Amino acid sequence: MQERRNLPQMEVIQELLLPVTRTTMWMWIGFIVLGTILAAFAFAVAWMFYWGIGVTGLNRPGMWGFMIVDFVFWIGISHAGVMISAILRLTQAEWRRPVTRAAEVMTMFSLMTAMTLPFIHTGRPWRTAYWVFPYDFWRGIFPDVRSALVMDPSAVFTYLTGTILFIYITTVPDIATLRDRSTGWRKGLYRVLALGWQNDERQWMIQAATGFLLAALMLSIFVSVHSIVSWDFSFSLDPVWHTSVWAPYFVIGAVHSGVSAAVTLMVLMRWMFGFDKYIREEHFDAIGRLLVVVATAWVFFFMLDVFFALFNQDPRETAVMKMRFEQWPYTLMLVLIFVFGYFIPVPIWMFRKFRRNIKLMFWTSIMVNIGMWSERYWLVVPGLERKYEWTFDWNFYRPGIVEITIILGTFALVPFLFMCFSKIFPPVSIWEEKEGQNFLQEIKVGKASIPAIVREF
Amino acid sequence: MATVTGGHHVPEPSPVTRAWDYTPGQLVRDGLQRLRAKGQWYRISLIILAILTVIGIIALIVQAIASGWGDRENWGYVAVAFGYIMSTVAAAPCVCVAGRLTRAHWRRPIDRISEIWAAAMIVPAILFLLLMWTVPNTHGRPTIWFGWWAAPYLWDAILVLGLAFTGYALLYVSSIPDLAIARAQIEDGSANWLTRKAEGFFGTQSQWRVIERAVAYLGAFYVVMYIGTMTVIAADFIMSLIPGYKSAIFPAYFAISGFGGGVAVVVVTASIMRLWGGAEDYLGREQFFALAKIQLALGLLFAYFIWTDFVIPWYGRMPWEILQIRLLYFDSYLWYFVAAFALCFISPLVLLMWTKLRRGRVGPFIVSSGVLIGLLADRIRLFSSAFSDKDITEDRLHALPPVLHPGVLDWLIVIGAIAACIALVMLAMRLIPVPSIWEMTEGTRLRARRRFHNVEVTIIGKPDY
Repeated sequence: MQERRNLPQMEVIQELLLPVTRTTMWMWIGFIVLGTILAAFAFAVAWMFYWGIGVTGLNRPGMWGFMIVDFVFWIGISHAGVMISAILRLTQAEWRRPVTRAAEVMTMFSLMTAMTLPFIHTGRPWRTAYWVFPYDFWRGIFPDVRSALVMDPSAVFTYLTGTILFIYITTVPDIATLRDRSTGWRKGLYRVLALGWQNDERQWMIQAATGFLLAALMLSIFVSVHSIVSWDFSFSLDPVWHTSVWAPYFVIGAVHSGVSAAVTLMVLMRWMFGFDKYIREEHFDAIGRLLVVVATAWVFFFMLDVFFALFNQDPRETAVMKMRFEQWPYTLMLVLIFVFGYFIPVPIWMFRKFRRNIKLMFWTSIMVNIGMWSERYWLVVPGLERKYEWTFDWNFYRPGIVEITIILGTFALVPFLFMCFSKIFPPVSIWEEKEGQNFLQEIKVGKASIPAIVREF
Repeated sequence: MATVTGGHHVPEPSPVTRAWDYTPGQLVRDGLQRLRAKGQWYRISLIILAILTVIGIIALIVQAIASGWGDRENWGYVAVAFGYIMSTVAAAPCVCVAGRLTRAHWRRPIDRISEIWAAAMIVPAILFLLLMWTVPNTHGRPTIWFGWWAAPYLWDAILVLGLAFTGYALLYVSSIPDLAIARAQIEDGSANWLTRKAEGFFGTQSQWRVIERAVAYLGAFYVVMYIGTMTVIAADFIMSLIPGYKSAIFPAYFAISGFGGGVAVVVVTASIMRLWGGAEDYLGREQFFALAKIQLALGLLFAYFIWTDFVIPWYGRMPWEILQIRLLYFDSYLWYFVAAFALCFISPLVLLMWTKLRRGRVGPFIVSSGVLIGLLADRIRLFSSAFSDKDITEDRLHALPPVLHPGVLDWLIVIGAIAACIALVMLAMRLIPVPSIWEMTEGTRLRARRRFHNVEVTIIGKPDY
């Protein structure tokens, strides 16, 4: 049974503009709770900048801890936007319509959050800038420009620039709608941002072509970003890091966590903005089926990583693997990875009835991201926490309260920024929803009416 | 719309599949006619393929008698034939599975063309049983089996033979409705023996539900089995035979490039069916356009996986990693690698990125033919480097092993194996209608042309089951 139905265009506009025009009680609660956590985050960062990186649990040899793990995690979450928006746009999947904007915005804010983490991690970001700029090419003492650590910021900045452009291009028609319905400073803002959009055929053609081209371009950037993040680790000769599978493994893991985060966001938008007519059970059904495939591919790459680390029985690799499998807290993390990341959600998503259960989808999507955060920790931290012939100083990494607060802050920052965005721009694309309403068709087969879509060829 | 005059279809210049406008009766008549009528060229092709197969078998026997199973390098090109068929023929049925799982409408004329290649799965199964004796046991060398009983032989055999069995089961189950049609419609006693295997199928609602579920589950299982089988072949027949070669991406690369080969097989078969198999009304630009997009995506993945396999040891710069790169990419098999890279990645990228070429029928055919040649070069690169003469119990490569170039016997074996596969598929087309009658009939019911504002568009039903 399909829940979709034809809605009057004016009703679509009014309902989808609701977060911009009205601040619901849930939004107020959200702003206050998230704002409080962000205040703690700002205090923790300031505290660390003042006292230095010694207030964290980072110490030799484990110099990459919570903040780098969280950086990898948020880069992963950022893959949802492109996965859902670009791929589903290119493949003309109809169910993408209510999801794309929110996923793209989540991409943008996740990337911004991710990019703050390496800067905070340095402990003295202003000194990092002083050391890095101007970049010393000629003396050869700085990291080689071919190093992943140099490629990484370039890729992430390109991704962010592309994402902002992509969101902007796909939001212009909605900004024009807002311009025509607002007054005061908002009208001025929307007038500038709408770039003279008059809804004529030529503008629609240019907008569609640009969106399509950007989607195709973003796909290649999307793959390259997380590949390069993985190469931060695997270009080194560290045991269990120096492996060729990490690039696609990180990408598929990112898609798994990112699409799950999009499910969480979809449920929250239903609850917070009352978008039940637009984000329907059929959308969760479709995204659930996609997640079954993505999760299974992720497990395949996970198994490849583990099996081929042990493949030639190198003592150093075996030692780290042993630590990952047998030592606290990695044992717990391994359980979380498998149970939360695959063995609970995927069997649930196999059944249509459960895929259409909103609460179940919400909790399974949260579980996946707990599992995926653990996976990032399980991959990154033990790689440095090993003893070998030249180790002179050694300790386990244990995160401090400052790091924990910073991490909690990042989890508050993304939804906070998303809510701020929703106060200025519609979080569900109005024009795409209206287009989808126009494309609604039905075919009679015997006595049954089958939902149908328009296809151009 | 196509008009039918005296049994001949008069084609109209339409970019879409003309068979969508057929009535169910026309589809049945047309399907059964194609099942019965095989022309002179069919027979001539089959005879040539049979001769090549026999020559290949003789070459294989000569090879076995001359060298026995002791010298692994003499079996290098049997391994190439096995790897190539696994990467093309065995991957072809995965195309229909992908289409069915995503409920794509364009797939319907392609489904049977894709799954009929499962009929040739006996060939890689036989080659595997011959090759198994050339692979040493797991003592004293890297392995993914970590001391499992009877590894790698038993587990590899279960996977390869299981894949072959699943392929046959998939082909049979998805053919049952068409075989039942043939049983019911052919009354002159000329119905083939296989139609009797569908005697219990009468098209009740529960039977249809069972068929649809069985096809979906068997298909998904086939894909999972395929990936598993390619993973162990990559590990046991290639990676563990090259000392120090440890690349976790390699099995995934081996499987993904196999999918590329599978799509290429389907495109080439569809092109031949369209030109000489009387299926021009079924195979429009729509099918080639969709397949070309998949081919392009798989070409990009081919390059991405090759790159990740290459760049990690290149950055590592350890002496054994450099030797490994030189063996697989530069010194030893450079030209095989260049051919594979050019035909499996550059050509799909450069040609299929243009919508005009993707929409045509010639572009996808040329690219897919190139992919099939490139993939053969790639499999020569991989299996020859694995089967070349060296001590596989060493933990690292210390010197480049000699290059294994193919001799006459080797070529005869490879060509014979490929010919056997094609011959088996052609024989299967005598028994099973291609394209599928029931899937086409279902497709015609879910498709309509309607006016949408000022233009006429296609409306496609998406049943929500």
